[in-house]
Order: sequence, then C-alpha cells, then structure tokens
Amino acid sequence: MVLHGYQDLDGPLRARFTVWLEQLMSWARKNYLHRIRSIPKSVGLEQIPEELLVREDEYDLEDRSGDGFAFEEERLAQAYSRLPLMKKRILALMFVDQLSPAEIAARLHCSIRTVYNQKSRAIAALRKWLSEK
Amino acid sequence: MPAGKYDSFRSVLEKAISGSQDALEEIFRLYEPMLRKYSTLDGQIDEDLRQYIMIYIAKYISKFVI
Repeated sequence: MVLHGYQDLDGPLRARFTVWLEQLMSWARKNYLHRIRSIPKSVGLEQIPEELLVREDEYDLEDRSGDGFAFEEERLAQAYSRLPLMKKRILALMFVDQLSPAEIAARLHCSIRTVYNQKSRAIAALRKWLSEK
Repeated sequence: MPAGKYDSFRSVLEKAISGSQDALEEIFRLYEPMLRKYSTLDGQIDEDLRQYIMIYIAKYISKFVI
C-alpha cells in the first residue's frame, strides 16, 4: 500500500501498523456481520397470513372504550412524544403512512438497516417507558 | 497530505494513539483503500459497516504499541 506523503519515513513501523490495522478491520467486519445476522428479520404486516391476525370482533369492545384504555393511550402518546425526532418519523412513516422500510430509507436518506434498528429501539424505549409506574 | 501538518507517519500515529481526532482522520485518509475494501458488502460500500469499522479503530487504536 502506498501512503502518500510518508513513503520514506518510519518504514518498519508503518508496515507493522498496517498489518495490525488490517487485522483490526477484519475483526470489526466479522463482528459487524455476526451482529447483523443475529438480528431477526422483520416481517411486514401485509406479509402475515390473514388467518393469523386477530380479527376485530375478537376484541372486547367494552375494554377498548373503558377508562383504562384511554389512560394507556394517553401514556403511549406521552411516551411517544419523548422519542427523538428520527425515531418518531420512522414510526409514523411505518405505522401511519404504511411505507415499507425501503421506502422510508429512501425518504430519510438512510439505510434500510437503520430503519429497522431505529424502529426496534423506538419500540423498546416505548415498552420500557410504559412499564414504568 | 497537507504540507507541514505532521513530520512523519510516526508523529501521526503517536497523536492518533493519544486521542487526536485530527490525526485519526489522517489515518483514515491514509488507509482509505483498506477501509473501502473491508467496508464492501455485495460489491458496494456499506456505510453502516464503514462507520462501524471506523468506530472500532477509534476505540482500539490506543492499544497499538509503537
């Protein structure tokens, strides 16, 4: 490898560092690939067979209109408002606008993986906040 | 390489190891081809992987013994 500007200086050190750095990059790459492969793939709602989805008439409508539900909904709204802007936008685009992760990534100029990661972290944060008393 | 910024590769490395962000960026510049090689997935640069490798280097460069 040619290191512009330093060809004549500290040759052995540069060579030793280059070998060390290449090993480090290789580890980092393996580590990254291991991590992303261990993340379960998300499945869009539209990909789930209809028979596996809960039908609306299976809900207890009284429970949904009760005070408890309204209270939970308000808590959810409060928790949602605590999320950072990027996470809010991703959740809104995904669940309100029903965009696919690829469409969201294109719109927000980020990778699809970022969309998945941000969505997962946002939902985890909401769960954590909602479980707090 | 900006003229006069660093005397030698050794000085860049020493500064990067001691935590200089500027020297670390110089290391990234010098090793850009290697960084690109390890950031490539399916024939394309994966920006997340690239960032991950750069963070990894920033975290562990202090372990290198001159």
